[in-house]
Amino acid sequence: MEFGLFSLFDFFRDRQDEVRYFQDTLELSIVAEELGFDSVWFGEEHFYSFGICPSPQIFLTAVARETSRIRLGTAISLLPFENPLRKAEDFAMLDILSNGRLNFGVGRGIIAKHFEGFRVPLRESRARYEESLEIIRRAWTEDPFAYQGEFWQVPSLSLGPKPVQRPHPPIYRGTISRESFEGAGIVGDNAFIVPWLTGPHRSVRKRVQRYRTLLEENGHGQKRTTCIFFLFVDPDHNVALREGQDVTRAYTDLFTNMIPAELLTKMHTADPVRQFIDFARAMPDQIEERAVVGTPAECRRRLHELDDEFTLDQVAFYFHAGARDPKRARYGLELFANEVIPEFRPSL
Amino acid sequence: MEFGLFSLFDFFRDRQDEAQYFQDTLDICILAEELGFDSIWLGEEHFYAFGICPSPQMFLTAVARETSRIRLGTAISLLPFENPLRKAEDFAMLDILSNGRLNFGAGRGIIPKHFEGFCVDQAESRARYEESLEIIRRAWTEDPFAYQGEFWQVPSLSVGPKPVQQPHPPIYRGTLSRESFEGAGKVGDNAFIVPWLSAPHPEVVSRLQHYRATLQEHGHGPTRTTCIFFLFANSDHQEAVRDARETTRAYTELITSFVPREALHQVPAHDPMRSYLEFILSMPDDVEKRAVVGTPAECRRRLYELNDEFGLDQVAFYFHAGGRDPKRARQGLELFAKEVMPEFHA
Repeated sequence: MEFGLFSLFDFFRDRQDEVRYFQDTLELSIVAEELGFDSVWFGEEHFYSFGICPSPQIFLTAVARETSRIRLGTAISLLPFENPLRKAEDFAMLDILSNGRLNFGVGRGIIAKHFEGFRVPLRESRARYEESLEIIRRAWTEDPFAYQGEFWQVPSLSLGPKPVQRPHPPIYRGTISRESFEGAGIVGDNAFIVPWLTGPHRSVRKRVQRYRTLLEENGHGQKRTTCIFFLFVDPDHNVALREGQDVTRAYTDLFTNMIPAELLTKMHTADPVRQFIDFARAMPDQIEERAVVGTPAECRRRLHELDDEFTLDQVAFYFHAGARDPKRARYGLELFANEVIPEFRPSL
Repeated sequence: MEFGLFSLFDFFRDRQDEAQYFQDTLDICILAEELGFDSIWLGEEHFYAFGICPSPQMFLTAVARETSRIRLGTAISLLPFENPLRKAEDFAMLDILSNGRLNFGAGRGIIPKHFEGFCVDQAESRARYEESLEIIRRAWTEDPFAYQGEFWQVPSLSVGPKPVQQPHPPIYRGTLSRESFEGAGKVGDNAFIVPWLSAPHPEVVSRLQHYRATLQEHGHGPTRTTCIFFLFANSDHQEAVRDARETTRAYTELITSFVPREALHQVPAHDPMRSYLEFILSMPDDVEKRAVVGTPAECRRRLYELNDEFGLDQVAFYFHAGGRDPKRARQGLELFAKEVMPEFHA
């Protein structure tokens, strides 16, 4: 089992400072490598809809130069908004500047404000995403190549520079819905699992099983999955629990505020958007079932349980989400590295 | 007078390696700070048209984390091809991650292959550039803002994060033609001067004077100019000249290779495109007049002459262009820093 950190740079404009936030996140990424974590995963957000990292590739370039071993991932880079050639170029540069450490996680986006700001119809998101991913893959591996799509046309050209990893950096598909897991299974891409945001564990497990079955049916070899959880570890169980509730409440409030409350109350309880929001909002009260919370011994036990449920491969944790004090984040990571990680590492 | 380095990442696919090229360039940027240089200026190029840095903002972020003082500039970021909100975002992040060291140089692009690849009509380059620059400036300074343009529409929104430098990072306009100097003078932006690539020196001086007069007419205070030259410093004069000829020959052939030679010879002699390309290709033979070449003493003398001609402010040098050996580039910079720079760093 490998361990990593995850952040969408969720930002509270009324009480956080941008420069400080970037510095804290960079420092924690450096600490993560020192503590023996294996990867970092950062998201892309625009226009203060919620996060303040519009270009994880730029931030990861900074992390690349401050570290030497840790893998650098996006979770996720949003593909519908710009010419995919630009993404192919940026991420090839990151792969070079990190000496081949890129994990390229991609998705179609979901936040309405992004689509409005970039003047892209939300309903085109999936088709644009698929087309864009196809162009990026070909730009990295074919020289020259050409593409005639519905949204983008590429005349015969060669894209440079080329990524270091061959045939191309690992691609991870943003997978929440059943269809997206199926898509990843059919083409043989790696996947994310985000149980707390997706649905009850039983239904998530079904989607993951379906993904693994499809991989096999389609003759794809072993793929990687990155499973994302909140982590709150403290020697005192009650402190961990209280912190977990506070932090996830702040986080889910910020996250769900994108849908105005009056709009939400008008929605039928069976509306999928309403259900998604209600499920996210229930997080603080269900934190012990939906996160990794407690003393180091409890965290070890919990990870074994989750491993039985999902067969964990790479696990990534939120660390300073919900305006959590970076000092507390750092403390938790140190405790986890010292007292939990060794249990899941083959002894040398 | 301040000194910097400049590169368009010009790349020879038949004999250079990409990862090595990036590493060499990064190493030399780090060395530049150690040697006391003040700035770095990197260009944007796509599709192996001739350079291999499609995102100077990515590369400068790497430089930012390996240095602490040197200014980080683009020369230039090309604005017609992508949504300017993305540029505003990227460069704000660079400004944060470099602790406020960004010099934002912007231009409209000239290479047909870029326009073809991004499916943008080259005839629109100037209008797209102006619109894009306006959007970036407003995205950095107004919160929220909206914009209705011919090429881009922005509904009311706030762009984040914001750059560290206030009201915004210095903006430099790519200035080669008389019109572009005039444009920069009217709005009060900083400018580039690239004599060897623009025109004979008297003509460049005249454009620059026009820029400075226009600045004054429009009530703008003093702005900065970055003047770009080839530099070949060597303790042996003959060695410097030989290096200069070889390097600029390789470089000018590469940058003009988008026009096939047979096609060039069929163009009438008085065609402006043909005479411009011929001006560029005459560089190796005129290198002592159009570059800084020679022993340290000769370089000092040459810089005084150039200072008399242009009124130099920031000077930036090509260092490993034309497939030049990075070791040679490094030696030249060390010699320059030791024996030329002190004279001008009062």
